[in-house]
Amino acid sequence: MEPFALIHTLFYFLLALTILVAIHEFGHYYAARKLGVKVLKFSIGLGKSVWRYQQSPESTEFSIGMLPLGGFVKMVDEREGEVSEQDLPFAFNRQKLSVRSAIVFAGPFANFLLAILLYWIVFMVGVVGIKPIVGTLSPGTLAEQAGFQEGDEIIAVGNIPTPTWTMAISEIFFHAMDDESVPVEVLTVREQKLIRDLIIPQELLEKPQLLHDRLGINALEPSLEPVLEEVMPNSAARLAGLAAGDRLLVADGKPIKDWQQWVDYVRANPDKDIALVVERNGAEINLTIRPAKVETPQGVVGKIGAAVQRPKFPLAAYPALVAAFYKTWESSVMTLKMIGRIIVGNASVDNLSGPISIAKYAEQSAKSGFTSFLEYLAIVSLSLGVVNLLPIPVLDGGHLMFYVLEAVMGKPIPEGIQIKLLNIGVMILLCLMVFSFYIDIFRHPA
Amino acid sequence: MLKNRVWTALILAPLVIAAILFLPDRWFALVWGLAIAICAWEWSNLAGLTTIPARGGFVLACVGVMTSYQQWAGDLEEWLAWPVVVWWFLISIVLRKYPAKLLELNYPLAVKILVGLFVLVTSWILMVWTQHNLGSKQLLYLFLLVWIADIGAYFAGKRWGITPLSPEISPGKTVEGLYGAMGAIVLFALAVAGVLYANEAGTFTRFDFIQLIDFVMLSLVTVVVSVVGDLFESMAKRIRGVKDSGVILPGHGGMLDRLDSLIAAVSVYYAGSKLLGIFFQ
Repeated sequence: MEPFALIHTLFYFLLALTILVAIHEFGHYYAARKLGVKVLKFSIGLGKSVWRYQQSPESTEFSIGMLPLGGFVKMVDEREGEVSEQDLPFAFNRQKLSVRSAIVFAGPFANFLLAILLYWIVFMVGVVGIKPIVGTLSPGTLAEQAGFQEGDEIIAVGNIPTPTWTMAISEIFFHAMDDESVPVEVLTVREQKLIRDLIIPQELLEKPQLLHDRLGINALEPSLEPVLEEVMPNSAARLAGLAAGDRLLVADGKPIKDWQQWVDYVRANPDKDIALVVERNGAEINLTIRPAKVETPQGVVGKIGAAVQRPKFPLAAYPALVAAFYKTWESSVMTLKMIGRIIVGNASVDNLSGPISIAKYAEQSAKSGFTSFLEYLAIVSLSLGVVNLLPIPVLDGGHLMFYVLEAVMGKPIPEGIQIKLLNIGVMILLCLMVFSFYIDIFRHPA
Repeated sequence: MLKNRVWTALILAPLVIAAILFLPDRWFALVWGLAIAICAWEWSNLAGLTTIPARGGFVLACVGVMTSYQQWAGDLEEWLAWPVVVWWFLISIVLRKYPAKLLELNYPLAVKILVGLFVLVTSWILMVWTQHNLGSKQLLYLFLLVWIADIGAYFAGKRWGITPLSPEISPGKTVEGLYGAMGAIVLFALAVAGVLYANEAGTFTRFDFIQLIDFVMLSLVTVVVSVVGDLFESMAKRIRGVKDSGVILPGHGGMLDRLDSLIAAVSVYYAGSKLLGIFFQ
């Protein structure tokens, strides 16, 4: 990437992250206020504040810090400084164990809630997908060994229904993470319901990212209506005057039955004029289009630079909400399992994404449409929730761990031990940060 | 006062818009050059030149540099916009941090003359570049940004204004007014982006979330710099001890009083549009 593009990408990543951190901190803030703890300061970003607002000296100070890295909520607390007599009942450390736990948990909880909300919108708008029907099978792969046949429709994976191809594949991945065999229920071409067992070899349990290549099933590309979703700038299609929403009717006198037929025709005619009839707003229009020449491994082919409309599967409000809950839960568990497997050495560290790759995904998802950007935000939000719940001192999960121990032992952990553990926690986090940067830079050589 | 101001604006605005949209490149460069020459005349007074020959000499120097650029420089490198951006960036920091010190300092005449020459001539070049390289619609957007920010700041300041933005330099401006201007600009930028997307104009052929935020942020930064330009001129007037830079426009004072925002804003607007790849056509 050129330097400015990298800065641009990182800027947007930090912006998105800052919003998610703000929501996390708002969770803490809201719970603290509701449960009667006084909040001194709510800061987004660290360092010197560039903007601040405080209604009166008694109320919370809101501030935006210079460095867009994280944020914090500062509550009245005797461990962190002098507390005046009248503020004592509102000090965090004077609260019951349950109240303190709730305030700490509210941060990650807000992130999960946001993820659910975002997924809900995504599912209601509709995910673009195709039916989970097996198209081609690559020889010598896991799917062939499991006996999959062309035309099999995947109904469920491990008893979880899968309406789209993407969901089916992600379910297979989800199960392949800890089971050596994944039962896939299919409806065959002869209308028989069968269970096909995918056997996952040991080496794939360690490197799940290889599963994609080894699985070896491809979706059956469905027949698509020849209606344009979008026309790329400076493309042959734009030059010819095509627009989004156009239905392609006739090419050089031959009727266009489906999108694939048109694609084949274009590929076979690079740099040749094609007489085209399209339907726009109910009227027929005659156009001439000259596909651009493109070099590919298969030789020179034609290309017009337009994309076809793909069917969307929007859900009604309630089923979308259920799906959103389910998706958030599943992704969180998956993240957690992945972290666990990396720690015990069952999965390669290649699965870690550092800031650079996460930022790259951010830009790609933002470029490929509004819903994929929302989906991306949801993933980062729930990851933030999961990671913050890890039992590492300093993180919310670390505090919760202290509270659990306090509940078990009947008295708080001595402050000296807490401080030592906090220092260890900081070390662990710093190592993780350096490590993920290192992996990222390794993965994307400049 | 306000009545005069509104009337002058209502008569001038259509003329300016027509000039932006319909004048061919060379004629636009000439008209904008005339406006800058009037600004130079006013700046010469702010700089402390008092005799007609001295003031005329400064105007001639500006016009001379502009004419030689038009005649001989040809296509200059695009990066020449950046020193101007850096200049306004530094000015905004200094104005924010040390307003009182800036007013106390004693500036040699040569510094004031050179600053005027640099600011006026570069703004003329960048404006001509914007019109020529980005097109008249994108140039019109810049003018509308500055005007709408002005109007937004006026009303928001009147309604909510409490906290002075820069009490030493310009007591009339408030922080709330600036927020109002920025709010108005966000709405305006979103509306314009909507129209551009609907017409698939320039780089706005398909909806792109990041591009949209880029566009809104560029508009906001442009407006902030336009306010800096305004404050910069106010500072010059305060140092000289005058209220208006001239008397050419009824209700508005001088030409420089009207164009100070644009003169500063055009630099970031041009450089930012190029850097972010924002084009209207």
